[in-house]
Amino acid sequence: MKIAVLIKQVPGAESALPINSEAIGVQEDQVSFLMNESDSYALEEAQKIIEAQGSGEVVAISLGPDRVQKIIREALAKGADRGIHLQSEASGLVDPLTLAKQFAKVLESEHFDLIFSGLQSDDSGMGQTGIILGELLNMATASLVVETELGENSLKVKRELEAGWFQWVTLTLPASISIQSGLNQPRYPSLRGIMGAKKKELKIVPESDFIVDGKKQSIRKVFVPKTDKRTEMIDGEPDAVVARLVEILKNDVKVL
Amino acid sequence: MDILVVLESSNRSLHRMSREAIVGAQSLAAENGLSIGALSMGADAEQIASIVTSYNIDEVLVVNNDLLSPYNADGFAECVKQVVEQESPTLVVIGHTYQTRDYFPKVSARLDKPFIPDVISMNKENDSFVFTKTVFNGKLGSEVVSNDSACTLISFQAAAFSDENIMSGSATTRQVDISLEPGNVKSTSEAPFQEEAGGVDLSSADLIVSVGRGLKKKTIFQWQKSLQMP
Repeated sequence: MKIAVLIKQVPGAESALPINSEAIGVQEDQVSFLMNESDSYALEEAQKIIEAQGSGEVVAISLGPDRVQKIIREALAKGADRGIHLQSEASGLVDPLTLAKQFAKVLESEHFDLIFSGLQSDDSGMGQTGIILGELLNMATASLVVETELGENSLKVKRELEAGWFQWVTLTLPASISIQSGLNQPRYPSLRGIMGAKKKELKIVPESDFIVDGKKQSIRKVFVPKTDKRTEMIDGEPDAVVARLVEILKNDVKVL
Repeated sequence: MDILVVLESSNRSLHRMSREAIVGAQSLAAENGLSIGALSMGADAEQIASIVTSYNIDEVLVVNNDLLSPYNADGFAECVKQVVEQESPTLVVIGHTYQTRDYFPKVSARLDKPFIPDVISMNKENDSFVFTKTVFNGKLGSEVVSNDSACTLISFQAAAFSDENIMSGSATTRQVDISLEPGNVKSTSEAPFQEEAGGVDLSSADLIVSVGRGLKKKTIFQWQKSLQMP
């Protein structure tokens, strides 16, 4: 059993997000980066499956500049068997279709049984790469996975639906799934794991090996959303006040 | 057809976010003189189509195929792909539901067309659309453009449009055939279910105490347990 886990390095929740001079991303030298939250759950789930199997390997894979090797090393320290770094200067706000094609070019020859990814990244929030990659590699796919059960030649997954509903879906292998945060408890790297990670294989793939023509979508501008504070006094009869309040909650605040 | 709205069923009725997507499409169509079609597929295809024919759109395309019931990502993705290839819309719009997240990226891959998700607003500049979506967990906004002039897939974030603004009208219905083989479907779905009650409902708690991991001994947690309500 070979499981690939796609991990992405994203700005931490507490990081500053200064917009870069081209206004198409953030000034990366002023950002503190971490492993994307849902990706760490995907990594833990892959490790649990391999540990239960007693054999197999977990491969941590990331695309980006050299800084992403930090999270690959982190994954290796947590127990992943080897890492692959697709070296690219692309920022985190990239076209998911292009990104998935790049992953597919490199991973096609690996013949993974399973590909795990987090549900969506905390930067671009596209939520597509793992599913598109599975599709490009002719795999079964499922998203919003909150539980997994490995079968003989299948993977049964519990998918989160809307309004508190769930559904079990059985996928034929190979399969690519995107995992919802919270389905397990990601482990911390042990001191032994950190030391051992230095000896594990980290394959670096140059960008020339996964060139894909033509981005399908582009960020034209990144901006700080406008926020305005205003106070509206609602006067009148209770029915009129309630009607106006409901109107504001529905149309302005959009919480109803 | 210029805009194709892909519909979703919720409890045998039209999903609220499909109504919102229709409002978004109606708004675009009115401003730019575009035509709208809607696609109804799956177990409730006829029922959903009968609802949507009373809205101000041009026509409702209905696909009846046994392999689309129950919902499965491969069948739905293939159905949308084939309908888009037959009808050649410039924009394919859908509500950003959980189901959309599950299968619409597959449509993007199969058609080799961009999918811009979770759009909150859009406008047209020099014959091309500019879509606005949030990035970095809502801390920043972004303007996204499609580099494919032939067809772009987008999903609207919940409440991007108010379903109360849906315009009534009269649409025609057309049956559409697609080619789908059992071998195309790589998953088997069981009936949806709700979890049994009994878990801890954090949303109803008056006080939540978070205790760090790595403390190891249960005895360390005694004072936190003393905070537990009877």
